Amino acid sequence: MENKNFQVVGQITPRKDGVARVTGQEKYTVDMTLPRMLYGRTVCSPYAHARIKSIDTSAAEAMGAVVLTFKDIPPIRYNERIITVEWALHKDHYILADKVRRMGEPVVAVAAETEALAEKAARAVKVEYEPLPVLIDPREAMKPGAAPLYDTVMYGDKEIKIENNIACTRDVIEGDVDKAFAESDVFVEGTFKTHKIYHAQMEPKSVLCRPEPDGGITVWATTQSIHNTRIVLGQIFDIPLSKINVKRMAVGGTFGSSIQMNSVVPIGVALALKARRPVRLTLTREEDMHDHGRFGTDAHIKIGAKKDGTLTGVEMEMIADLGAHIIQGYSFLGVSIGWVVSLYRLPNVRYKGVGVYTNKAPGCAMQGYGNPQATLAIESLLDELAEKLGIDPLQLRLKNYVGLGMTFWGQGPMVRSIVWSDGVPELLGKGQEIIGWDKRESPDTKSGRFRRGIGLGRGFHTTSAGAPQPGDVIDFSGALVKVNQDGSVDVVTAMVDHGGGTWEAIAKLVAETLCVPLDKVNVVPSDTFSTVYDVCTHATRGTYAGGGAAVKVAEQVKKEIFETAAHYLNVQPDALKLRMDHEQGQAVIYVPSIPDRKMTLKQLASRTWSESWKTIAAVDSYRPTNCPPAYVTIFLEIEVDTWTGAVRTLQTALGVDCGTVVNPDGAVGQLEGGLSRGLGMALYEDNEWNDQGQLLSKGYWVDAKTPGIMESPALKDLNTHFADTYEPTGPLGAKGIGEAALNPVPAAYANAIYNAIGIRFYELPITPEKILGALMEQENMVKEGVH
Amino acid sequence: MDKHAPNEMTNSHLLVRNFDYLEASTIGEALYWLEQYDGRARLLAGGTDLIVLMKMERLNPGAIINITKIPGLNEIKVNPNGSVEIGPLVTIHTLAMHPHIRVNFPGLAAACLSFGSTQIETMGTIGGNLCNGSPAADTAPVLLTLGAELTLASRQGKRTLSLEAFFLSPGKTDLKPTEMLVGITLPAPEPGSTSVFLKASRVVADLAKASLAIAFTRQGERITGCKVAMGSVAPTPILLPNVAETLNGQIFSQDLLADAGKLVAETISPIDDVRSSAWYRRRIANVLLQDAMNQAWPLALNPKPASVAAPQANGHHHLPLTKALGTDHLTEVELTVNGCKTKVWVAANELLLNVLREKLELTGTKYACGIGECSACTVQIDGKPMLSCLVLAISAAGKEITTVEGLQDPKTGELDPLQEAFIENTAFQCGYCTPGILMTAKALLNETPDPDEGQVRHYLRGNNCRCTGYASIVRAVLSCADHQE
Repeated sequence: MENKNFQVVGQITPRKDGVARVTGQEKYTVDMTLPRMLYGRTVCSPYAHARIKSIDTSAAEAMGAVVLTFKDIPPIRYNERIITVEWALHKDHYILADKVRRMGEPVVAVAAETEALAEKAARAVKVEYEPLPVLIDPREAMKPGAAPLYDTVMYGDKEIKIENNIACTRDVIEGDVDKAFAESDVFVEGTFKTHKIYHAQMEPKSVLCRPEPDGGITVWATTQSIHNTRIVLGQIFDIPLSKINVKRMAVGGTFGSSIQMNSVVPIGVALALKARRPVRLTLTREEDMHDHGRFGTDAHIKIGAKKDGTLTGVEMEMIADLGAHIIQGYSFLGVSIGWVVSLYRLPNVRYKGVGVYTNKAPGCAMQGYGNPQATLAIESLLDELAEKLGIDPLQLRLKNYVGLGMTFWGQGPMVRSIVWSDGVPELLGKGQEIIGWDKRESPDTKSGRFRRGIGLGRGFHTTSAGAPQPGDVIDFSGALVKVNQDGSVDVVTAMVDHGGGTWEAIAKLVAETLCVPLDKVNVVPSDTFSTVYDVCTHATRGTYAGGGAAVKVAEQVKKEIFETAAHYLNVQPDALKLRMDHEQGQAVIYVPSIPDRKMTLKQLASRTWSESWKTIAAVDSYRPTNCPPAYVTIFLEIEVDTWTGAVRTLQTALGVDCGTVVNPDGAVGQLEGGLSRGLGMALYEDNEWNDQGQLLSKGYWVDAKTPGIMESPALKDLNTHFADTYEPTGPLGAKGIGEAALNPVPAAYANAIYNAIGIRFYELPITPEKILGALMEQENMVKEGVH
Repeated sequence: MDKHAPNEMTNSHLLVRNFDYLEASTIGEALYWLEQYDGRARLLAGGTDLIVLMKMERLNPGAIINITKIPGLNEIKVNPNGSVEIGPLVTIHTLAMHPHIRVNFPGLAAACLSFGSTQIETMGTIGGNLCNGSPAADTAPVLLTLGAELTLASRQGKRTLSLEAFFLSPGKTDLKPTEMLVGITLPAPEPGSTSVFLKASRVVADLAKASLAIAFTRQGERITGCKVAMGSVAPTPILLPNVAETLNGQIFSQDLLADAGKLVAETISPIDDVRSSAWYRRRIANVLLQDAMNQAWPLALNPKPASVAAPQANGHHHLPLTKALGTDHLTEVELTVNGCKTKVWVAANELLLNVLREKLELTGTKYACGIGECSACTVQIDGKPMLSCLVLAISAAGKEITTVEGLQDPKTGELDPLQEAFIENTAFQCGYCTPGILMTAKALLNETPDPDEGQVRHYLRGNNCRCTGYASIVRAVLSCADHQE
């Protein structure tokens, strides 16, 4: 089964979309224009919480604008993310606000001949608001008597009442925590807080919609899932899916922010349907920044352990700040405990997760989907435990991690599978060596202005949400693979590539399977009309599930190639083999024992064509029955300037176990990018809101800084490495990387900072202000003798 | 603050308001129009502050007077006595690269290199940086320590004013609505004097949390002629004479610096804001003083090379006075884009970015932040990397504009070596920031054909990429530099 003699997979090859991307020819949704296209704009709420008293659109209409208000839209509440199955889906969102629950929420939409006119028309709309108390802190929002954001929401097809702004809760109990704690020798606990940071994807969300003569619509949209976008649009607008075509586009980064159908999409569609003309609607950066963000978390976690370092159980209570709408809060609560118990063996679990509405941007997945938050907590606590027990933190991890043969929770309590490939010991060993782990000294040995520290963060992400049985998360993919008349191959997939090289991976996997040179395998432009269902490019599943589907279908094509060639070569199909012939630039079908019985794929495909027989092709769906962990270890050496609190990254060892490495350059890029975004989350990005529910940055990039090129470590200090593993359930042995690359980074920084200055931080970002404040406090305590 | 005051969101993709656009070809014309508009007109130089403030709708001028075509205002003149006259239109980048400035006023060059991006350096002007009146203006602290004098002109005549007297409050200077800054004079430096500038910010490419400049002369182990100034720690950039006094005439020692640092912290009056907190600014001010002095002290010993000759004045086209053009009217301008001359009708408030994308269908150039902070919209104008989201299309008439679509060989379609290098090094993922990065990196390679890693990073510091973590981009640019050898 394990074959690693690949010809294409694992090779560094120029990305097929490279020329388009370096010449400005790649088309993102925002680059699309159509004849007679109108420009859309929305009228955004200047309040974070308000009732809408009246709307006067006459002035805008007098300018010739098409105007859309609440009374024009289908009276349907929906959830823009339909990866969670219908029975577990909360729906609280209308296309335009019935009541304003966040700053910048679209209340009215307009479309006009030019963008300038649309802007003018939007400003001419008069909306009267009755401001309501603004709730920013989930703990305040949960208090009895706090102003309710919602009276009711839909849960599946039932209407449910919302009490104390609690949108959803999730309790998980496994084993007996009380008993486990009673038998424990030592405990570590802490309250960890992370903020609702912004994805800062470079492309602002956009949609272009063209109404079609048959009553259908064609939609170009920033999305990670063309099929889910189509299904939600069908539900809202009551158009048969056979008349809705969503085009797969290049996407300017998402980091999870386009898993759900973006808020602009149904607005653009509604405008186009009313105008009976194409409409393009793009968020401004200000709007985009108020439109979505990571889930903020506030989690108290307690872990028990035996003297020898064996973990016994975990108790966790978490409040998740959902923001103004529930996009995927319920599943977020589930995965959050899943990440915890899948990092280390914690057989006894007591968990309560609460998702709370606040008047802020709706929370949605952002690289890791709760995993970096959970990993920060657990990896910090493990370091504390190691110190308490006098055990090397690395050894403590090796002793307790969830590895080969063990059961782990992929994406929440209902997605459980077995670990079949495990490169953790190898990754830890290599990282240990690169960073000089064994020379690591305790913080109390350090003094002077500049203090260095070494930290380790270990983590993983599940590759897909596949499982043996269906759960509350939909996860399957599909592909169509066809051999063209010249022996080249079209791969038709709904899988979106939001930058990581998913299409490149799929092309390589198909090329490898069919022995067709890579330049003759093309992942072709597609849309919902031409593809079978794929749930979404999320959950680190692009290569594993999308690639898995492509390999499954390519194997079927291979079978058909053999059966068809057997007819021409007059041999048994089972006797045939395929090989890649670089000289001819073709796949060659041959019989090893009879050298002259062979033909190229071109010869075969051209004959089945000219003889009016058939196209060699196959189409199928693919449900992964596993969701293997892609393991990542991050070792960092940093330096803290104790005079300014500034942190500098000196040395890094970034390791991943992604099974077979399909795109080595792309995989390195994932690790380096994960480090940069993890660094942003750890040290810089805050995205604070004021008590009126407005971002302190007001949506301006100048005050929403993400790490730049100056913050990324020097080339010589970036060390990346791969574990030599093979995932038996993955396409040609591959797992994913994506989210895993970021998950342990904030934890590694927190642990490295502790190792430098002996102060542990429980809240992100760890800014120079926080570090300096804590150092001053430490200094005062020393002075006062309160050690 | 009124809790029920509405927070209307702005639109950083557009200039929403109407204004008249004028181009002045002489100082006299500019002053004439300033008077005509009676305080409602604003002068446009680099636009990196003005256009941003207009997008944020914090400024809504009735007219914009483009002064960039007035000859003689973008020169640096070194007088025989050593004093330097800097034209208000001298760009930050020109100042940073100027040999005489680098040698004799290293603090000023350092301040120029600390701007948020190379693009802001090449667009922004020294005059604009000062007249914007920001407490965080990067050039202000050094210029304060150098004793800069400003010449302000109005129709009534000229007056000179010390820079110290120029700053009044945040966003406010002594510049009258009918006045224009026409010159900045740096007095001849003391022989052997030097200057230094340091800045603390959230990320490197950012506005200052606090900045500090010191000018002094090293006489053996003694500090003389010392001046200290800071930015972002008071309503205006400020001189700290008491701190300078503490240092002046004293023997250099760490204890002395520690005392002076403490005094800095006690003297300033910082505030809490989105960038930092007051207490942190006091702490960092103390550190900045000590670090700046420690950094400058050993360098101050080295004898300086003889001052270099003043650069030659650039040639200037004399352009006729443009009639006031309102945003309701379209005017036809000729843009030279990727070597092709194109006529296009634009309103005064249309931005180059949107004209390129919507009217010329060159969609490679991207909108991402709209306020010049992410550099995704970078194009080259006359070979320099500039932010097309902050350029009025009408002001780009007659200039050579190159977009990413113009990087390939126009005849053969062959990719530029830099484009090849980006593909070879997989120096992109989603690709949305790539055109802006390519246009910036290409400008770097034109200026510095064989840059080292530090130079690549510094030049690209304002270009945001959220996907790659930047390493592959650095590798690509460096590999390309090797190819060009």
